[in-house]
Amino acid sequence: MAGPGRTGAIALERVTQRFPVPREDREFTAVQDVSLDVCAGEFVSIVGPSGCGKSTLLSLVAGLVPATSGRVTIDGQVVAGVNPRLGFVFQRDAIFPWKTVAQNVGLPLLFRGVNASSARPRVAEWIGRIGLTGFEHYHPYQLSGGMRKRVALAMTMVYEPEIVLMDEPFGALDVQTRNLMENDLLEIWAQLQRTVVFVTHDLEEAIALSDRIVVMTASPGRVKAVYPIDLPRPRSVTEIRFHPDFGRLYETIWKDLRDEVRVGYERSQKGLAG
Amino acid sequence: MKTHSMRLLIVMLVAALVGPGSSTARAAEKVTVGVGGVALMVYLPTVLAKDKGFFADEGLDVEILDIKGGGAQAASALIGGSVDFSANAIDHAIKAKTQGKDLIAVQSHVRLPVMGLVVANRYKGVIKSLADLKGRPVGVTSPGSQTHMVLGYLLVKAGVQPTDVQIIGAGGNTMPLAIDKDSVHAGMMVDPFFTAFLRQGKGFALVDMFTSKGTLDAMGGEVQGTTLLTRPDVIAKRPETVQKMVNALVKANKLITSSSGEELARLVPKEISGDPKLYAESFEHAREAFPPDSLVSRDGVARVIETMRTFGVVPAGMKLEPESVYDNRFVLKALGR
Amino acid sequence: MATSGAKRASRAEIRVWRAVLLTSFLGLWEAATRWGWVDRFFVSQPTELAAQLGEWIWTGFIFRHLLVTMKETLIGFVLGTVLGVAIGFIFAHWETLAHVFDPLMVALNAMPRVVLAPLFILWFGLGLLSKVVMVISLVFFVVFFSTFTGLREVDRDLVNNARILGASPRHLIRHVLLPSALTWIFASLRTSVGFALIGAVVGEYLGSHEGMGYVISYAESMFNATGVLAGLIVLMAAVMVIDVALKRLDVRFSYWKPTRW
Repeated sequence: MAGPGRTGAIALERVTQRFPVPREDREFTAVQDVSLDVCAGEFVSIVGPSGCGKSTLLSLVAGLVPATSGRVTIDGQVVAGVNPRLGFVFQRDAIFPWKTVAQNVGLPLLFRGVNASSARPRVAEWIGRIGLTGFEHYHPYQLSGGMRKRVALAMTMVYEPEIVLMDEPFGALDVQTRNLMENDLLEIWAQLQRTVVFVTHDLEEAIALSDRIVVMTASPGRVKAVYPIDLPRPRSVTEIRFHPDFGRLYETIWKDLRDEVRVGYERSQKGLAG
Repeated sequence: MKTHSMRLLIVMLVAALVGPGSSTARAAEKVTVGVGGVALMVYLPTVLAKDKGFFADEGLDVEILDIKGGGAQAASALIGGSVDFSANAIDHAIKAKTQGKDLIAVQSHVRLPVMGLVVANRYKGVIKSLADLKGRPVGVTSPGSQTHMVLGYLLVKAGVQPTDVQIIGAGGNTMPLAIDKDSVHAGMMVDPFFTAFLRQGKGFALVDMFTSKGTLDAMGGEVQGTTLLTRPDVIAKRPETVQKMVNALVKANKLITSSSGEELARLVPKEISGDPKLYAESFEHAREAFPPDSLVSRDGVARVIETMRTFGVVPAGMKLEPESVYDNRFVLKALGR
Repeated sequence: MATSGAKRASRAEIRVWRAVLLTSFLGLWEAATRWGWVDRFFVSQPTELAAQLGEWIWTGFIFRHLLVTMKETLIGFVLGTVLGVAIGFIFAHWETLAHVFDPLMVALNAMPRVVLAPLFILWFGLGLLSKVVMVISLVFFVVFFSTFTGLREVDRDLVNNARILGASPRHLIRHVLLPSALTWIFASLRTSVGFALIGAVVGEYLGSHEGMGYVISYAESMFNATGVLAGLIVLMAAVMVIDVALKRLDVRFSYWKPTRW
């Protein structure tokens, strides 16, 4: 469902993903029969227990792995390999340790053949946006976790992708930094209005950020429920918690999520015992 | 009855101990001789003495240790004490002496260099004399070896500075290949490679030191070659052993010098003789090299020392008398003189 | 501030102790050979070694031979490294190739190449080529295995991220794979330098007319233990110099790593 004149709509139609288990003669089903639509410019979060296949879904949309069955399309076109109009923020630091901040942020432009003189101002702009002006010549090992995350964000945004996929990007940060980054993200998103698919298992974060939340079942992951989040925008991540509807939404969604978490937990206990 | 059978038993026991072959039944003395490449003709006396039982006749159980590193390694083994004797060129004794170690030659295997300077056929007409070797790669068996020293001496005598020639260590049995592949234009060859190479028409001899005349022309006289070397402490502590070794070798030399090439090719063990016709031919060519009387030649040793002085192997200031590296006593005794 | 347990010696102290160790060793050696506990003929003597080295350096004799050996070493080293890195990349990329060739690589590597030296001389002659081939045969495997492993150890996320950011295969190699594998490659370089030198010397030892191997071989045939050991010392010094240079290079290329103590 594309919004007026916008691109970046994602559609998953009955997607199943199976992986062969190394050293064992069986296959592992990560996601089963998932159908999902994301409108262009929408901010959708995917929540679920560990191992429910959230990251797999992102990889499928990104074109990093082909679907075992079903179709993944972007604006109606089947995903076949890495889509250049897509951005991905990884859970772990995927910025390049041997390059400076400026080199890292400039890297996607270099890859895409943007010449140095046009790239420079864009890089400078984004470094400013993430608040790291003055750190252009630092190397990642000299930065804090939060700063590195910001660089990762800038790297993804600098080439203005239509779709941004984020895999638990703020999980490794402390709460204060996390909140700051979440607000930064919302700001950037508000300016650019790209499609964002955000994976997290922090339900509060998901509610604070998203237009819709998709709840996944325990493995093999299926779509359990989809909840629209009709909280007003613009939002401040720290303030929105006090909105009256926040608590109601949280309670409802949490019940679904909790059941799946429990199932997953019991299964792993059985696995350990049996 | 009892004493009778007792006596019989004792007699039987004694007979078993002392009986037939009593000289060998008395435990034969074990001796090791180091050799640098047992197939080389220069070691023939030692090989023959063992094969024909001459050592055994003297009550010696001789083991020939074929040492892969060549003559230098065999000499090292002698100095180090791993072997008590080695069949080596007298050069090694001289070199050892310059380093303060004494080695004594007690019997002469060959009294000529028994090596030749062979030039590849492709340079026939181009390389006509030693002077034509200037600037060319020439092979010797290994750096510092006898072939190296002799080549150097020949060059100096011909008025060529050894440094003007690229002298390369190309091995003994790999020399023919090196010449074939043009890695070297000429090389010092020992037998049987020399004879084989020439027979195959692959090269010609610029200098032939397998014959007395050839050696005289090239070197100006006799040049002492391979000898039986041993250490002074062996001579001091086991002179009878040394004498026995020499006795056997003197017999071997006599046999060699009184046989024809064909006869020798038959006498020598197959692994060593290889192609009997080739062996016979090589031998006839080098016949003069084997001294019938096994005596080490003073003149020959002096010439070797002089050769090595030319290269500074024997330092200029050092006094080195030929007598200090050989001792003909044992040979003389064996000859009954 | 309280100190915990044993104090680690300062750098100056370490240097002092090293000097003490060296002098005692040399002193013992000299004494042993002078007083006849050990035969000088076999092990030489520090004073004699010093004299020999001094003479070699003063007359310039040794530099000619050292240069020849170094030339062979460096040419073979560079070629072996380039080959090793290139094939390491190829195999890391085309996994099937790697699997197919794996037993062959392991077998070839296990073969003592030093034993093959005479064959190399046979095939490639007595000049520079056979020595260079010898060196390559030793260096290649070390660098290849290091590169191959280093490439497989590259963080998958980095590769995926680069792909998503739009990297072409060439970009991947230049900006991700190569820098990442460089640590491994450099570690292997420092190991293989020693091998390179061995290869050159062994090659010369068996057939040449100049070079350190030649010098050592000549000294050996003269029963000159001093010459042999002095030659070895010169070689050791050469390797140490090269190692220092490599260490500097390694540091220069590791600018992006958090510095350890």
